[in-house]
Amino acid sequence: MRRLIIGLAIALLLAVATLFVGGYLRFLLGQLAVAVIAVASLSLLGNMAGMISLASAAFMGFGGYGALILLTMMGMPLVFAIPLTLAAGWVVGWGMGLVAIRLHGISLAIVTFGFIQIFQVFAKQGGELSGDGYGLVVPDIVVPGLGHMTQDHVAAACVFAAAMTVVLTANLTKSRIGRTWLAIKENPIAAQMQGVNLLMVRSMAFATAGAMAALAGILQALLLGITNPNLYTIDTSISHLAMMVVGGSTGMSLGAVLGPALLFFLPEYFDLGAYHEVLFGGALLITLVIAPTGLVGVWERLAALVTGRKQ
Amino acid sequence: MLSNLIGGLAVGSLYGLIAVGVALVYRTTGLVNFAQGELVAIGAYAYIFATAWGGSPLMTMLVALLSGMAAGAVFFLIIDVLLRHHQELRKVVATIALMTFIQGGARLLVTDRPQRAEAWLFGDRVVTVGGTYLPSNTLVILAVLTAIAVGLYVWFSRTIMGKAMAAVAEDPLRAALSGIPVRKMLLLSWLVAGALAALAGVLISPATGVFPAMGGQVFLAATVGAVIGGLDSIFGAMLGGLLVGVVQTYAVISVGGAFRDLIVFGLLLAFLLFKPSGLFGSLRLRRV
Repeated sequence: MRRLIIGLAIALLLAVATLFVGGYLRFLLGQLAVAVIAVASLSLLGNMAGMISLASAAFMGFGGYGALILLTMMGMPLVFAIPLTLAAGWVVGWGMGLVAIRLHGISLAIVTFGFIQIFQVFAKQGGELSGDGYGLVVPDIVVPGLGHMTQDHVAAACVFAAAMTVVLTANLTKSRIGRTWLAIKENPIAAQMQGVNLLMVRSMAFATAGAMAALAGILQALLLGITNPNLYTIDTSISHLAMMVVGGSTGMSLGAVLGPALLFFLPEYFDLGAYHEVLFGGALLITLVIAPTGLVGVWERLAALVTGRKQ
Repeated sequence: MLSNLIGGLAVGSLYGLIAVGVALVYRTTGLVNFAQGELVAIGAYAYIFATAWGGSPLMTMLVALLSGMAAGAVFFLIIDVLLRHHQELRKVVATIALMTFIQGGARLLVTDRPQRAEAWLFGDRVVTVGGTYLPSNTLVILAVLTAIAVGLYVWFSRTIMGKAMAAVAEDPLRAALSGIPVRKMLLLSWLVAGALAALAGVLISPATGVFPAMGGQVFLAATVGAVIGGLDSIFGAMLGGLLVGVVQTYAVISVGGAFRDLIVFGLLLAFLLFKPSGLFGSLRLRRV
């Protein structure tokens, strides 16, 4: 409980701090926060439950389009649209988990790869629901007490949400549920013998990850002011995967911050947009070969060296 | 009507060639190579560059095949040498990394715009068969697929090397014990996979143009073909690829292009969930 309160305080502090940095940097921090949430969702599946998903971009798209459809076409206020979209993301993730339970790791990767193509079909050919293939635009939103919602507000909200996600997933790792996921990752059969209900637990992991990715999608759409099919391609999913692996896979949620910071924030800040894919692919390969546990692992090894302690 | 079927078979043949590569690599390494489509693109780029240099058809094809094989060798080095002690899923992530690295690299080196490619051997000539017009490239594709199918059959059933490779796929440990150089057989399967993908790249380039993401478009369809065939069956992969090509063609005609991917995805899910061993697979595909 104390950890949670400290986490909440830090998240609030970071969000307020976001309001005081310069315009473009604030926008970038907002986007970084979105990437952190998406990577945390992927990391929950990959590092904790041992499943590889390439569908994170599709779930983000689901969140983005879902929230905007509710906001613009149904005229729903934001406070209802966000929870409803999250719940929908949770349900779709749960369904995906039911499929995942029956698949070998590699088949799951193929299916999630295909899932992106299917989402692209909706985004490009979904008619009115997807803005005739051009995407949807965020309407003018009035928040009671804040007035008209601006990008600054959204950026601060993104940073707050990302910090809370990191705190909550870190907490989850230490909880019964997190330990069950780890047990399944290490050895599914042994975990089942301990009485773990594989079907239940795996679909819960997917459902949680689905809701988290949907949250990232909602925030991204609000931050950018639009949704667009090009935001949710396989390249987006791969960039999340790269950030997750480069960030680190020792079960610490710090990796979900380090990866996006290195692979999203730095290239974006130094305007290396054209080199994105080569950077992501290259960093991913190099990490896999020379530092399989990612930046977090490197950090832990350095710390062990300095303190002279064996891990 | 006939031209639709032949067109579908031609597209399916290309999927089949790529799917055979997917299956070959899967049999020996237990991986699905997500960068198989990029081997197709590498072959296609090598082909148009060689054509621009003014090579004869034999030369241009040779250049394309060698580039595909060279890329296959690099994949082998990264995945089966550098990462040999890693878990399967990490190796799969490595192939995903290769996919995005090669696509991004191609975007930097050449333009993102599709480049035109001349059809191999006969150019744009059209043949009339029983009142239907067929591009000569379609016939070349069908002939190549037939030749490859026969070649693979003879290779796997009649030659020592082919049998050794089948043995490695069956059980690497026992194959090694009987003196088969397992590592060399792994390299060989990557080389063949690279060559077949490059061949598909040469043949598909007149229809789609040559661009960095061209491989991604065919990869999913080819992989679905390989899954339908059973993922570890070479001929299953070929037939699965053909089937996907024909289904796609008829899907476009009857319900429109938008639903093409939906139907292919439906096929993938249906097979993975209800018949994971595919039509001809030996089912070592675990269901955990």
